[in-house]
Amino acid sequence: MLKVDGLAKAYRTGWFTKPFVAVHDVSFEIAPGECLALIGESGSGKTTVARMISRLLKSSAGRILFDDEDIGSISPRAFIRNPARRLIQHVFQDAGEALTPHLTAFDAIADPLRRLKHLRDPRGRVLELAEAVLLPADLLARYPHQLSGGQRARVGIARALAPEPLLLVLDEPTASLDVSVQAGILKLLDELRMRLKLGFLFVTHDLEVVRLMSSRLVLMQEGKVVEAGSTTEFLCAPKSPYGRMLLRAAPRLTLVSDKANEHSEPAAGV
Amino acid sequence: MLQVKDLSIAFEGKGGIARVLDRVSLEIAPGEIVGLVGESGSGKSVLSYAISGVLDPAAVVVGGVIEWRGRPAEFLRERRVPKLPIAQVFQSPRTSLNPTRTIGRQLADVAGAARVASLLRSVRLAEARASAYPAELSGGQCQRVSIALALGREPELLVADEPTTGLDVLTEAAILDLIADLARQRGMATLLVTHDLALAVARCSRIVVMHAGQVVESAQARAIVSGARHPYTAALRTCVPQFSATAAMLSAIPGQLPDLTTALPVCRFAARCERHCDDCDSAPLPVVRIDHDHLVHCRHPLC
Repeated sequence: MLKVDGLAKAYRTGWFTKPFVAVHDVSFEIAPGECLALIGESGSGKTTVARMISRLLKSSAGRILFDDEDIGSISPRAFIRNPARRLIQHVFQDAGEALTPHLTAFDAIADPLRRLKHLRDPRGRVLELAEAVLLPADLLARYPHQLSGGQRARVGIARALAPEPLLLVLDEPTASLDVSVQAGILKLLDELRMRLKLGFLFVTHDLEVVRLMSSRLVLMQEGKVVEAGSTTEFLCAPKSPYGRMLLRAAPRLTLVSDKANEHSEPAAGV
Repeated sequence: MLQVKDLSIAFEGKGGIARVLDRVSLEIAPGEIVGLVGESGSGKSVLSYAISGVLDPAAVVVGGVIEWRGRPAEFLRERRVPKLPIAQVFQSPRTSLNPTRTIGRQLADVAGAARVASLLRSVRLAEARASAYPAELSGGQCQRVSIALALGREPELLVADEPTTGLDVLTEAAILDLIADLARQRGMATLLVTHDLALAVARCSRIVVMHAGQVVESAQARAIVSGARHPYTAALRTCVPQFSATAAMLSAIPGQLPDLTTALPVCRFAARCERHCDDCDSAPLPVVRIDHDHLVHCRHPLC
């Protein structure tokens, strides 16, 4: 469904200085119903890749084939009128900031229905979407600032699902949420992916979220791909030195293997 | 070394009186790292402010005491004491740094110029950054500077409020290793406030779980993993990714934190709890001692 080939992004830093290469030669594929995790520390270029794929940002080089059409050559401005725009939806990190403050939850969800699906009366569909993301219907009349972080995240997801996309680009959708709220959102996303056969590009720096959500991953460092492959294989035996370093720095994973073996003793004093 | 006994704190505001802490007790021994865990709004930060002596002036201490080596810790509020035995790392790193001085100067103020380079290295910052002003650094870098500032004072007690939230895993590991080293070598005690139960389990010897301003359970970290007895602790575990094998096994805690300005049941978890009965609302809350240092504040603990 999505095939990214040699994607790059360079920023001009001045008339006579060399451009800053934020993303260099990134390639991967996502099949329908598959979740690919894009991981790396802050500043590694994950968000830049995500934004280029949802065409919020122009790419400098490389191809983005979406159902065999190269959308990488379409400028973000022209992409607005492209039929593929409906099929690729972006979920932002901080749902509170990404929602328009003067639109109620109802209008936030109805807006893409009116614009992209040209529905005159979106009411029924909005209620369906609210139900799909487990958002109580009586909250639809509220403005973003009257909703909790978890509820705003649900509105953001409902809004992304509204035009019936094939691919969701999720940029740290749970990074600003409390653990108990994050649990609900992750569970919801996983169910939606399987039920609607959605492809996910899941950007995160949390290796535990990667383990729960994705089947394959791409690890980035300083704009370059350092490792790509199956999530399980990476978590058991990372191939790159950088991947090994990351896993070692996240000692909490040892708890999981303990738990999997049904040990009651944790790895004490890690 | 530090003892918090039955501390109750309330805030008076437009919406009424919010009872943000309700008879909270806590002990920290030298060299010990104690994790304070709970959802947002559980009162973790207010407790850490109270311990650091930087409570909001609007806060009213309704009851209880904080003792430092057996003496009431009132002196912690005396800002003129030259060398306080306590240092704190706050959640908002940028506001805790002086914007008009380079970070090297700020570090030299507390630890002496000779130690600036090693302090920067210990939090994975380049020595050359000493000449930078806080505004030139990213949020994560400011966070690391404020940790270096706190540790540079060689405190006897470190109160760290979400010190590594927002930092990447490599830096997080380096900073927590550093805190563990200081605890071992110099007997520095640490209160690590975090919403991340898995992090607390991996890094702390003891964990205190709070919910809506009450301590619900306190135990050794391993006991929290293998035998949490309070229904809230058990619920908190099921929503931590580390403890579940698949996304479908995750579950959010039902209900929401109660509104602290309304009349509250004795056990503030009662409304969200499956095991709740009428006595939970009104009768005094029993403290069940499971083990010599495993306490559960619950009428119906899990077994």
